[in-house]
Amino acid sequence: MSETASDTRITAEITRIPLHYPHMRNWWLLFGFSLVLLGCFFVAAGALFLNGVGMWGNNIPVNWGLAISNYVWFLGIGHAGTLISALLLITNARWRNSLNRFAEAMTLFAVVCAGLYPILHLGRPWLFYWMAPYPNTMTLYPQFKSPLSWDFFAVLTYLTVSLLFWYIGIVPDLASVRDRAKTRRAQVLYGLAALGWRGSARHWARWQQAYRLTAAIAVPLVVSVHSEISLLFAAGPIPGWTSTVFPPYFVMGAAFSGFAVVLMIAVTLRHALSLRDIVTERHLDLLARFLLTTGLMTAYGYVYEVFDALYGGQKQDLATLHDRFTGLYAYSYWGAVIFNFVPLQLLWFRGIRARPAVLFLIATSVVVGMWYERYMLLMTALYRDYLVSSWGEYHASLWEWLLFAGMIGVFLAPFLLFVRFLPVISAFEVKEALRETGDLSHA
Amino acid sequence: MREPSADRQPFGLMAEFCAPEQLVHAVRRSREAGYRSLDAYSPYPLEEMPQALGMNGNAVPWLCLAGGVLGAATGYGLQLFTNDAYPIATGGRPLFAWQPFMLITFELMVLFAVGFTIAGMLVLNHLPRLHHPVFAVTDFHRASADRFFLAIFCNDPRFEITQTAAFLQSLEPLRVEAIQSTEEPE
Amino acid sequence: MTADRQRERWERAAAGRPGGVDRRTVLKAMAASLALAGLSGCGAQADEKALPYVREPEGFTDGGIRWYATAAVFQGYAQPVLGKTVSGRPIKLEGNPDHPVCGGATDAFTQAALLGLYDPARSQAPRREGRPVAWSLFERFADDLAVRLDQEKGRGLRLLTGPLSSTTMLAQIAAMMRRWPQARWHVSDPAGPAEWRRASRQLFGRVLDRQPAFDKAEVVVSFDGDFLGPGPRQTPNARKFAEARRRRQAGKGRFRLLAAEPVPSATGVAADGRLVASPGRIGRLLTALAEGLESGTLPVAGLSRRQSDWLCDALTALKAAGPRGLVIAGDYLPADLQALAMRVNHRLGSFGETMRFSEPVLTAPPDGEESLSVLVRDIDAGAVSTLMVVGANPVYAAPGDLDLARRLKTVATTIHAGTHRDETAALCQWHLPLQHDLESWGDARAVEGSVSILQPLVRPFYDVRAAAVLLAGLMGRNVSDRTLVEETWRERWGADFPGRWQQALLEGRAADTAAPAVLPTPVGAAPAIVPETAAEGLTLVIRPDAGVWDGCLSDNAWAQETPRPLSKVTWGNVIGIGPGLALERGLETGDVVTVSVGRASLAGPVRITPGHDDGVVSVTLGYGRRHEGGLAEGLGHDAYALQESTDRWQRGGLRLEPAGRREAIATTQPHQAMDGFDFVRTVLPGSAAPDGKHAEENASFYPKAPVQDPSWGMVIDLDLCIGCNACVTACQAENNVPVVGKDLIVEGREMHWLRIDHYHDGDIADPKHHFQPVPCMHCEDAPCEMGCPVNAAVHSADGLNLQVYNRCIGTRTCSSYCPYKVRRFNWFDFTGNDPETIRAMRNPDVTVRSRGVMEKCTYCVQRIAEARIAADRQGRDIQEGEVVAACQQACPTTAIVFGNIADNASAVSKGKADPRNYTLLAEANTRPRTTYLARISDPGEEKG
Repeated sequence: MSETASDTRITAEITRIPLHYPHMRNWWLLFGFSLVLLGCFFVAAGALFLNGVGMWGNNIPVNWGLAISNYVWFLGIGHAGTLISALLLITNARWRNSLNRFAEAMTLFAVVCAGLYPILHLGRPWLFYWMAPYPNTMTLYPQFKSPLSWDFFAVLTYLTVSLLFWYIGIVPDLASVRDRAKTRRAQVLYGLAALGWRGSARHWARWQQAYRLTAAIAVPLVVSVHSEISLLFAAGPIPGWTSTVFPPYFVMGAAFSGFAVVLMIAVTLRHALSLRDIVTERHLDLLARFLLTTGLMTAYGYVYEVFDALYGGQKQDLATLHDRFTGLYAYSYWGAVIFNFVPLQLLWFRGIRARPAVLFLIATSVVVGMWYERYMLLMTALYRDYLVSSWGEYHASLWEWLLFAGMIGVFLAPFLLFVRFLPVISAFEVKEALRETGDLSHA
Repeated sequence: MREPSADRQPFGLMAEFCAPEQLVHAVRRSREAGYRSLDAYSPYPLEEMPQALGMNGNAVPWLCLAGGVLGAATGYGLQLFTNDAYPIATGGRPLFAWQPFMLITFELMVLFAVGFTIAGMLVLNHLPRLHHPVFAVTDFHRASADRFFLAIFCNDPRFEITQTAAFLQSLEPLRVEAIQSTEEPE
Repeated sequence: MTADRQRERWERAAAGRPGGVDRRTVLKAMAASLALAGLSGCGAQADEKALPYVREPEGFTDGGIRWYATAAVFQGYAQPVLGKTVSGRPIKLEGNPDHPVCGGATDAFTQAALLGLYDPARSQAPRREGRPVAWSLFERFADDLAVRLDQEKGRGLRLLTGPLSSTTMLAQIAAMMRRWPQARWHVSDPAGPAEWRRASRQLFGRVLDRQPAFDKAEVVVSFDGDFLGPGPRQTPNARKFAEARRRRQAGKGRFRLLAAEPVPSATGVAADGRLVASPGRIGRLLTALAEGLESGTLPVAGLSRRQSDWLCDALTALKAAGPRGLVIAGDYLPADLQALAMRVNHRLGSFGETMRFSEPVLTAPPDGEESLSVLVRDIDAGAVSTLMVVGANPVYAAPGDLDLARRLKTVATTIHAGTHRDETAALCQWHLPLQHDLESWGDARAVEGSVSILQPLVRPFYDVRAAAVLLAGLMGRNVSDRTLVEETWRERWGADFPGRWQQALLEGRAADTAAPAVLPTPVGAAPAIVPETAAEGLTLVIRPDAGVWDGCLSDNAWAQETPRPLSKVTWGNVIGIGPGLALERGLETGDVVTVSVGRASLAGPVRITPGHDDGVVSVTLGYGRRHEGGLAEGLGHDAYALQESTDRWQRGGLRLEPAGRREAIATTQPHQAMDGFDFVRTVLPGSAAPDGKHAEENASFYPKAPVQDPSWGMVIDLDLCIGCNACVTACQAENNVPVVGKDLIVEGREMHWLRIDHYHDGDIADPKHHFQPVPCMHCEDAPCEMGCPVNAAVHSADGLNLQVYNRCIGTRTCSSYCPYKVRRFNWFDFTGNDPETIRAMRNPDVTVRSRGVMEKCTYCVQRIAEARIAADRQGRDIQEGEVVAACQQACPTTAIVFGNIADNASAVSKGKADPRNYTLLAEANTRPRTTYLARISDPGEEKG
């Protein structure tokens, strides 16, 4: 068939989704569910604001609980989108084009969830803006030597950059939807969102420069952000935290969990929106390989951590290490090891990598495993630190679990809106790739 | 050369093609024919196009660099200033400890660099511009899907409606059409 | 059920839980605020006749701050204090530095007395059959009663009081007995040393008070005698003990403390050699010691190796020490044993040397130790028609077999006067609210006998009366408490009255009124000690509680929440068992068991106590309170039920069955094993603590900040600390530290700025015990400051690690990074709905923290500021000793030393120069300002 014919088909296939969405019933079911979860969020957050952090299971010594471990978990997930999109763009891996759009969207919403957690967990959340440097009558500014200030700037920057990157990426497709829209309302709305993009060659030239530059900058940004998150722990003098391996360890873990979620979404959308010839088996296969690679890197982090403690030989570090294996929260350590790395090994087999359902399950297990890891890193260090006398246990309260469920809603609801109303796949880039490679599965 | 203002009548001439190669070819021919005020429209970026149009602008990268430098300076400066404006001893660190200051410096560098790049790109492209004469052209809605367009604008010194139309026809497009002005001349 | 109610009450009152404040709390608060006209604004005034403390510290003369020398009464004894009042409101009690008994120190009970004054749950109006009535109604009733008694010569009238040393009240009682000869006075003293009084009679034919001089002793051998533990004599004993220890530290003489005890106590922890022994075995050891001293050969048959070694050690040491030796037998041991121990002292020649005697300070009632039993007998005989209970609670605080609850109903007229509507009040027809000592005129004698005139720190802010005024009223006189006390002493001092009265008020102690010393000689021979019976079943050991004593403090939230020195249990009592017994019965800490002796029994959670004898089960008094609305309602179990008037403190034939359920124990330190770490270090005499200076050498990433003058620092001598909690409660009072209640303690959310860690090290059956007070370390390189993103945790020029409450947003990073976990977080609004009275009690110099902010020890920055201001005014530097932290001030052993480390002459600098000085967790490299002096191991061990 002629190129333009396939261009037409791709355009139609992708723009049809926002304009007349295929499976409205399923979408409404899912969206309704996510709204219920969103409701949980408001209930949990409301109760929290009314009464204070005491609603949670936190105490001294376990000052940080589910909130912070979830914060790290969500942020980790939020790393894949930009990483895939940017890294693969500058390495000219064309196959990214079928994935980057929804991967980036996923990133945005994950980062939003992550950003909410630290604010909610404050003793006085209504004063969170004191983290920001703004001129005030007391001429009092944040303490920039604190890892929390670093995190504040890192997350904010990451959110902004990801948003811009995602947005200029989607503009040409918005224009394409605008041009296909039948109803006036759709035309106006998409028209506004598309900024009047008309595919001018001169625009394309500058657009490409900007897009590539942003991508090139985003890659080191991704690495820096999660390194700084890791410093939230590594900068403290607490046994089990003060380790130089933390930054790379966290970044790898982040990419690992992120790819897992991308894989889950890819499989789901591919099935739900019948995009089999745009998100081809080869895409899934490549994602699976990435998952395996980052997984093995993360595993190295585990090994190194043990080595670190043994090599350092500090009594306290050894105690923490031993406690991770056998202590009260050992389940989280072994949970992490098993969920992260055992099913992962299946990905060595091509046959498995070709089976979406299995991939979905493996990815899910990785997401669970990474959650355990974050939880374990927090708990095992805090609940037994230096002084035996200050040891204490932490058990998350129902309110914390409710908030967790709510956060899933905070993630799911906007993501479903994105699936419903925006082009989930970068049509123009697929077409561009198609022109260069002439084969969809490479696109 | 800049586009004419939208009240010129006719605004220009538009030729429609069905394949990217044709468009690239057409652009090359038009420039050989001496046309300068022209533009091409495609559903996706075409590698050859900038060169074919004779574009060699590097404004965006320069903006990026400027943003980066400014951001880094802002970040580091902010931390120096605030610690100087209200000196507070914390954690046995010196007031100006460059080691921890580096992280925020880096973050702001990135933030500004990206901000400048993207803002600059939009400004240079005169976007957003929701209304433009070319949108009125028949089939132009396919410029975002599967068709390729070449426009020669009326402010080109060599532009002469019949000759230019004839020239465009010689490029074997699907269709040649005048771009109507969208605003009344004042 | 009631337990839940109690918890709710606390959550809501203290923690401001959702659901707001329940009705009772509201009423309580309202009642308080209504009655508080006297406290609001400038209305609050001390009695104008009261005289401020003579030596007001520099800079304390302004801001409406006044100090008054008075006393808090505990167990009938005066605990001499200086009361600090700000614009008329008493806000802090401190020991009276001029008083020989306390020398400025206090115990935890005395510190908590302040809260007793403000307790919103105090009884606030007279009641008849439970309904509030006007005083006039009672006055009319009292007049009729007096008339009747006059006709009947007082037949059937019984007066029941607590232990008394008040000259005024004793005089009143004497007068009453003269006027109504057939009336009788009884005393209820549930935790008093009745067995000693018996022993004293047996030895000397009369009751004498022991005044042991530990400071003079070279060897002290204690048989279950917890003289360093809680009780009216704790402060003087601890001071003398510390003096002896310091002598040893300086190498200026020997001092060894050997203790044999079934249940670990403060004395056992401080001991150089501690032996775990059941009460029966203790009798055996004591007799053996006595024989050994007579014959020179120890009968060690039937003793374990450990026991005979300990005994030989004790014997040789005592022989060597001679008159400088001292044998102490616990107040709660049988009279015969105590008498025997005294004979041993006599044999050693320590009478008048280390063991001194004085005339009794407390006046015994006619029937002596049998007083309460006689009352019960008479009630049964129908000889009692009118019972007036003043300042006692026999319905709760009396051996179970006396069962006054039932007997009270058979008495025609019952009157109760007390500060709270307790169990006795509930059963009496009349209840009359009493004044608190701190708002009354009165007099009482300290343990060494010298008289303190009680002067009010504030006018009563409830409609209450002093006990003396009540008695006077009963005898038809309507006078003020001040008049009564003045009359008493005018009568005794005659012409000298004005001068002596003034002196007594100014200095808090009437000159030369100490009880005259006596040098008695034991008469007769020691009765044969019944040999240790082969242990059938387990032995129950009952002791007063280290937190609420005999129950008199159970309505005091500070006392409730102060962790018991060894168990660290709060808000309740537990059943202590040894590790061996736990293993044998398959019990774990928190398992509920039923303990029964004879027909009496109680149920409660066990706590496995390291170093606890396995043949013994230990319980403490003061819990299982039953009075409505009391703070302690539903907490713990009532050990009085297991007491018998004849046999109160240890009972054989105990049965222990698991109840098959568990109960949460509210403890602030679940893990107490040191796990091979060196948090508490022990050195041989004269040797240095290993790597004591480690922290200084550790390389830092950054240049060190220069040390300014002044720079504040603290040294805590673990060789002196007896874990008595005086510092903890003092800190709570000084710094407005909120109380959080049982539930939040269980959740690990206690707020104490200063905690005392207790560790046990080595064999769990017989470990070494250690105490370690842990305030904020005020690190030079503080991780908390580094962690705080909003500059709420900052470092001051004089080296304080400050917390800026209004800047804190509650990220809790500081606490996460703190290696010592000394920071405390306001998980809820802990202060918002405090009752009016509690607000009035707050120290105005210390910010009240709101919800969501972090707080911690500040080295009493407000006191530093006061001293700085005073110094600046006079254009001089702050002098050594001018800044005294609240914990340091209260410490009876002066284990806590605080001061300027930039001044090499200061005590704290000397302490840090001591080779025993070491840094806790030097490996964390935070360079703390608070350091510790290692414990010194037994010189006896160093020989072997």
